[in-house]
This record gives sequence, structure tokens and C-alpha cells, in this order.
Amino acid sequence: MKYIYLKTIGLVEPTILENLVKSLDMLFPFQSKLIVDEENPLFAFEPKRDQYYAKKMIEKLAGELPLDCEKLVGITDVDLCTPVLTFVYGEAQLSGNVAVVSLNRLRQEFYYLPHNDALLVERLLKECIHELGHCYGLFHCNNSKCVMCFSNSIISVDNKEKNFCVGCKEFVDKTIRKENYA
Amino acid sequence: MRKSKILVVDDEEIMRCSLSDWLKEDGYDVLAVEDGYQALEKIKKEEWDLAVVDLKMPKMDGIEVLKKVNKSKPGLPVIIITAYATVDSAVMAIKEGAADYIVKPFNPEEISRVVARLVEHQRLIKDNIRLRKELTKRFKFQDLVGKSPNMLKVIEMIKTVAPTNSTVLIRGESGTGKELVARAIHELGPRKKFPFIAAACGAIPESLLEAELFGYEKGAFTGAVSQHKGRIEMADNGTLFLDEIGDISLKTQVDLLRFIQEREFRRVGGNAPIKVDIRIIAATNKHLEKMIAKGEFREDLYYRLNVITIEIPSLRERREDIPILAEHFLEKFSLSTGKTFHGFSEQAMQVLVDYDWPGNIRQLENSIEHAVVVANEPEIHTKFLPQTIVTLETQRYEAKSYLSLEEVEKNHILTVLKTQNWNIKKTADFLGINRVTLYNKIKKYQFRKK
Repeated sequence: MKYIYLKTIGLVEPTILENLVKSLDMLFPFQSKLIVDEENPLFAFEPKRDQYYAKKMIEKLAGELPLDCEKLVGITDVDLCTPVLTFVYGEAQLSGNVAVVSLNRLRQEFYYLPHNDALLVERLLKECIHELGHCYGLFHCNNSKCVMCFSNSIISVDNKEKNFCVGCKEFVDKTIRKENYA
Repeated sequence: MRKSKILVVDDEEIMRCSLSDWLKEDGYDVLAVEDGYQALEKIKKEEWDLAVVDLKMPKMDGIEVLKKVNKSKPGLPVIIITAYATVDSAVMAIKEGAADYIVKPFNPEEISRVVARLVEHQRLIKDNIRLRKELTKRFKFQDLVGKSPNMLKVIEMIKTVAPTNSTVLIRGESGTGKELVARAIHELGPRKKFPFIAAACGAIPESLLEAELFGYEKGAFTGAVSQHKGRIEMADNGTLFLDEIGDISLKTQVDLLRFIQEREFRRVGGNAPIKVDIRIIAATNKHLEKMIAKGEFREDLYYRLNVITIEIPSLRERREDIPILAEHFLEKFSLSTGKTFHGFSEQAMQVLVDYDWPGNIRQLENSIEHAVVVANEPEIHTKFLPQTIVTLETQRYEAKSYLSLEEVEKNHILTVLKTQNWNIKKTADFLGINRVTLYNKIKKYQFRKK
């Protein structure tokens, strides 16, 4: 039996993770498991930008895959970036096994607004599904409501739904069948 | 649909990979190379929709790559990216024709918008080029087939007048291909990149022609719910083809004359004069000089339009072109229907050459289309041609084959009987004989209705 692993990278509130695990269980034909690693990801820190490189986290996580792992998503509270982008909500290996998602810019506090747990979980869920979609080989989708639509602002994260559109869903289901039951 | 191809050029591996990964996630087909030389090689060998080039590279900098791309592939958009932005380098990049200049790291919103815009723009340009090629192929003398001296004269005239800006009056019977000649003049002239707008003046009701030609402002008349550009305005920088010019009213002739003289007009219900730069080609099958004499056509407009005249001969005036035209249309319709033909039987071709073609090329084209559709043999025989042509022409052909008078009579009566569906009265009337005589002939020649 395979699992979608969620692994914390640094400190993350447990309640948020519990809610995330429950929601993911309903969306994918795999159960989710949580691994807690509270160590600060200094290895990925870029002092010039005061941010963390998503790619470095992915590389590290890829070397720590459990044997029964379907996909592994790292969850972190630090601000993620890539060498070419000022920030990312998350990053994934396209058609790979590992992704990472940051809570940092999904929080209302980042935009000087009052904390909202439910909204944070919803946003985190969308970004996790989005990055898992990339792991299953999906590109960005032009349908603004599809979870695979590229989000370049928090408004676009909120605008999309936490589901794949029909085409993307079909693609993911087909990939899962091919990878697991072929 | 083909994925848009993007070439990433950056000497830093981490940047190359990061940008490629991100673009791939966006669904693009991406290739990343580490210097300008590799990039130019790839650009030379393959078709790209966009190049994203780093400014500072050791072997050849981004501006140098940009200059070389502009020379070898002038249409390819290049985004210059840099982590060391300066006003000078930005100005230099834009002056050298960069599509954009973006500072690394990019704001995700900005880069995705820029890339999407340029890729879409490139797609539209490519679509445009493709459509233009198709159009050029379609109209470039393709249907102006002929080797008769009359037709060669027309083609020579087209080549002579096309590069000029002069107004042309094309004259010829209906179906001779006046619009085709007008399109050829447009396609071979300097205005070919701009629109060719045709207005079939005779087909547009008089009450609508003014609005159709000059356009109208919102509220100009009942139903004018929004501003509407007329054909003249749509043809700006291109060619306006006024077909059936002899059919327009004296009132519209006055408006048209004023426009031709001043090269400006006002939309119906509008006050602002609008200037346009267009070439005018007019066509008619009417005898304009006779119309002038009767007061039906303005003489001053006639002289404005009749700067250069091209007379298109009727098909019966260039019978030697009929076989080549027939073969041309046979090939055209064979392609569109997917049928294969060896050609025409000798008799069928003779029928086509002998017929007078009152509807000219259009009628010939329609007749060949008819034959291609009904033919179930690899050769076009007389039986596949439209009955209207065959009925009269077969007799002529057969008469030419030195038949006896009795045989000609027999064939003729049988043909008329068939075309009149064995209606004795109609056949007798057509032949100019009484019914008793017809019955006697039927008995004599032992005709039987099958």
C-alpha cells in the first residue's frame, strides 16, 4: 500500500496539517501520512534574498523518500523562491515524486490581514493539489477555476477551486492507473 | 495544438534549469543552452516562438545574440533578462529590438504575462503569414488560365498596371473573371499587404449602398445602433473593388465622384471628414458610353474611373483557351472531390470548345464541376456534361462527322424527344413540325421510349 507523505520542513501548526491530511485523503486514492521534521531548513537559505530555495528542499526530500511513498510533499512556513522567480507558493518535480509548498504567503498576516485558519487550510490544500498535479505530469491549465491554473498572486489562489477540471482530473486518474496498476 | 517553443540562453546552470522548469510547468516546449553560439545554431536549425536570453554571458553577451538573431530571424521575439539591470543596458536592449527587458529574479505575475503575450503575438503573426500565403496561392493568376493572344494581352496589362496606383476599369461580359483580374492587380501591387475589399454595387440595394460604402455613425438612421465602418474605410491602404459600377444610381455616382476627387468622405450621419488612401478598381459588363448618352451614367465619373481600361475577352473570343481551362477546372474539382480523372474524351472536349458559353468562364467552371460530380468513369464523356450544353453541341459535332442528312435528322429528333421528355406536342413545336409528321418520323426511325 502506498501513501502520499506530507513532511514538515521546520515548524508548522499541527492543526493545519491534520486538516490537510483529511482533505487530501478524500481527493486521491491514497491515504496520507504525516512526518514531522521541525529542523529549520538552513541548507536551502539564500541570505542575499532572505528566502529559501524550493529546489534545494526538493533535492533533499528526494533523497529521503520512504519505500511506500506514492508522492511526498514538503510543507514549510518559510518564504520560498527559485533562482528566477521572486517567490513561489510551491514547486514540484514535473512527473516526479517530490514537491514543496510554503505557507508563508498563503497566510492572511502576510497581507496585513487578521489570521484565518480555515482560509489558510483551503489555500494550502489548493497549492498541495496543484504541486501534486505537476508530480503526476500536469502542466498549468488555462481554466481559471482549475486547481492547475498558475497562481501568481494570492487573488488567483483564492479564485481557483480545490479540484481539477475534467481534463486534468482525467489525466491524473490515467497517470495513477498507469503508474500503480499497469 | 503544437506547444510553443522557447529557447532559454543563460550561462548559469541554476538559472537555466530554474527558468526551463518553470516554463515547462506552464506547458511550453523548452530548450536551454549555455551560450550565444549554441543559441544561434539552434535558432538557425529550428523554428522557435520566443528566445529568453541572459544579458551577461562570457562568450557572447545578450545584446550581441539579439543583434545576430535580428539579422538571421528578424521575426523572433527576444526577451533580455539580467540580474544586473542598468538603464543603459535596458535602453540598448530595447533599441536593438528586444521584445522586453526583465530583471532577475522575475515577479511571477510579470514574467508569465510577458511570455504569454509574446507567444500569443508570435502565434498570430505565424497564422497571418500562413493565411497570406494561402490567399496569394489562391489568387495569384491561378484561375487566369489561358494562352490565347487575347488573354496574354490581359495578363501583360495586369502586370503593367499592378505596380502603379492608377484607377482601373475592367470591362467584360458576366463570368469572364473581372474580380479575379482585380485581385491579381491587388496581389501583384504594392498594396498587397493591405485589404482587398470588394463591393458588388449591383447586389446591394440602393437604399443600403451609401451606408455600405461610406459607413454610418450611431443613430444616423433607424437601426444604426452603433458606428459602422464602410467598405471605403475598410479598404484603407489597400484596394477597393467596385463591381457592377454601371448599376449604381445617379445619387451614389455623385457621392462616389466627390470621394474620388477629394479622397475623403463622411460617414452617413457624421460630420468629420475621413481621409483614406486607397486604389480603386471598378468593373462593369455594361456599355457605359451608351449609358452616358442616355443620361444614366455620369460622364465625369466615367472619366475618373476609366484611367486604364482592361477589356477581358469573352470565352467564345478565345476558344483556344477552353481545353486548358477545362483541364484546369477538372484538376481543381478532382482535388476537392477526391476523384481521379484521366481527362476528357475527344467528343466531350469538342462539345466544350464548340459551345458559345454565354455565361463565360463561370459557366464553364460550373459545367466541369457538374461533370466531376456525376462522372463515374475515369474519363469525362459527353454524357457527364450538363444537358443544356450537350443537347445542341452534340448535334453540331455529329453533323461535322459527315453524317447523311437522314442520320442528322434522326439524331436531332431523338435528342429533342429526350430533352422534352417524350412530350409529343412540345417536341413537335420545338421542331416546327406537326404531330402527325412527328409520329411518322418516330415510326420511320423506330424510336422507342425506354
